[in-house]
Amino acid sequence: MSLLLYGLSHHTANVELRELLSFSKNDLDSLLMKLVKKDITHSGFIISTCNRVEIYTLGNDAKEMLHQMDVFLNQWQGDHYHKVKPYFYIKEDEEAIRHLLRVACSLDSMVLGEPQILGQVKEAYFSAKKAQIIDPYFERLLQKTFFVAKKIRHHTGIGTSAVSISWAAISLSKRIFGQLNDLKVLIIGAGEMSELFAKHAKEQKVSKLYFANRSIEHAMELAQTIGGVAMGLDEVNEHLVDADLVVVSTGAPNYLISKEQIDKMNRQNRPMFLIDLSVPRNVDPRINDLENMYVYNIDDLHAITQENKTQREQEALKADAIIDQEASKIVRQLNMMQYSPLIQSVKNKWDEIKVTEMERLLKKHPHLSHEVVLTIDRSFDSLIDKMVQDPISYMKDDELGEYSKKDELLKRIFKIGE
Amino acid sequence: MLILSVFLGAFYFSDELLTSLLNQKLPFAGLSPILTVLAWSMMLVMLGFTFTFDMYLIPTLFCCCAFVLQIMSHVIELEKNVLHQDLSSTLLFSVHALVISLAISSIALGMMAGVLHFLESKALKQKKLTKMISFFPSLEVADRLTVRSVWFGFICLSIGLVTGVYLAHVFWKDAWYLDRKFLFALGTWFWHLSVLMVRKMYGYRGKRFLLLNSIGFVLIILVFSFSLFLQRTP
Repeated sequence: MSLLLYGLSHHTANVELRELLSFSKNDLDSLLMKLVKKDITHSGFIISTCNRVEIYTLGNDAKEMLHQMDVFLNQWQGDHYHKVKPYFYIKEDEEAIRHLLRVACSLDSMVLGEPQILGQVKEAYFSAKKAQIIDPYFERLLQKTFFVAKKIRHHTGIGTSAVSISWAAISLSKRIFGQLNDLKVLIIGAGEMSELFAKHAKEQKVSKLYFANRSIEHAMELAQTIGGVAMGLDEVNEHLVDADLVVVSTGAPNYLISKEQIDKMNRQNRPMFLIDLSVPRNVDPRINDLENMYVYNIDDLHAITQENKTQREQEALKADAIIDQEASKIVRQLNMMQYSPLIQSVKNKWDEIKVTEMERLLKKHPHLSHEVVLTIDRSFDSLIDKMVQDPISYMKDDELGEYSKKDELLKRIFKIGE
Repeated sequence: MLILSVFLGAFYFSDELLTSLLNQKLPFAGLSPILTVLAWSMMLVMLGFTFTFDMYLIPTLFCCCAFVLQIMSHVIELEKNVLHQDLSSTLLFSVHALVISLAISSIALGMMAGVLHFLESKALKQKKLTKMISFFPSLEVADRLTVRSVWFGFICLSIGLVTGVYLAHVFWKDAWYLDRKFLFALGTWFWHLSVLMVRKMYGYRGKRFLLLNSIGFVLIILVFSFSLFLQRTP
């Protein structure tokens, strides 16, 4: 049995090429069904995200499977497939398993350690399971993959530090305020960065969100979409006294919040965190010199995200070592799954012999009590269990040759399938 | 592991305390058992405060201090009674010594949380967030812990002062209120009251609150030392 991975990702193809082969959820379901109907595979799943399309299939002959899939995709996607075909990569068996583990653990992602990919792999699994094309081999492989992904999240710091500007701002806010649910957040400016930060703040369940903008219509639009109170820039000073967290992202050429303005406010020494995402800066950096006031600009946040990225890269090395260890284990376990039908056949054959022998024994000695018969029966079972251990160890031992040869030899020795 | 070792150490020393109690001798006669009681009260305060705040760095640091105190109490060879025998054998004196130990421990905890607040605030201002800082509690949590432990310390100090006044009245009889130890203890109590009032009125936190609290801590340690070693004003 061979495992084949046929796919492309952001490492091999740019976005213009990747979008030629983007699948909707319905497309994925129908593609899976078609692959099975055309007898290309009996089991498989497809991971389709904005950064990758990967088709995992299982069959007897990898080359044949690849050829059929190539013909099928050519018929199905036509010119689009023809354009992206040179960027596809092919991986088989252990290499494919290692790749799947790296993908699920976010080591192959564009943003190293991002958490979404695991959800996307799970989605691919559920989709294939719903279509009933996940066999025990893939079931085991995917369950093990999810386990390794969790283990890596737990044992390494791959996903702990923020690598986006808005998340870095949120985690810094947590350093200052602990939980964010009691905070009053004032967002000045209604641009993309403001919206992104507001969404993150809303997820943290902040108590109040205020949106201020030069044109109040834009602020109202944002307040309606995300939830909060809109105001014009003239009202900012009034709300600044109560605000705990202030985010400024406007195109104004001068400081909108000055040191003198903050100094005059009676805030009872409550801390305030000011995040200035504007260029040129809109928050006077001297405010940082005031007691319990913290000012971070876009460069400060960028420096933090860069440092965190470096940290993640170091953690990725640890994650790779775990994957190496786990992949070998998974491969061994999956191979064992392949042996089990043969071992079962051997056991069944010996069981049949046992039944015949027991019948003969009972005919010869009909006076034997029920307890004695049971004891003999159990002894036979125990004997078979012990005898079957030798063929299992033989199949497990990688040094004794390829699986197919060992399989053939055992079949001949025990006369299985004759 | 450190917490466990401190608990084991405390268990070992509790044997000493129990033996003295069973022999109907209260354990506050010498410096060594007093240090043990102080280490015990630090553990109590730590359990009461820091675990409710769900953090690990402060308990670990605090356990280190308690551990050092326990070692000191074991190593110290000063076995002569530093206190008046009649005074140290009363139950009220035990209560007095215990609440004062709790007050010292609590204010020490407040100071420790204040130091962490100060260091973290400085790192945030300088934008130098090292790996070490990630183990610190958030500024808000450190601040809350500081204030609550100072409040608890102040309440214990007040009870300690009242019981101390009663003991002084009974044992010293004449003009105890003019004694330098009592006057210094009263001054310390007023200092802590002022620190808490300033916090309430002006919301002082961080560097300023740490400074005021540190002075308060030094004062209470001095009062503790004077009460052990200074002779009564003639």
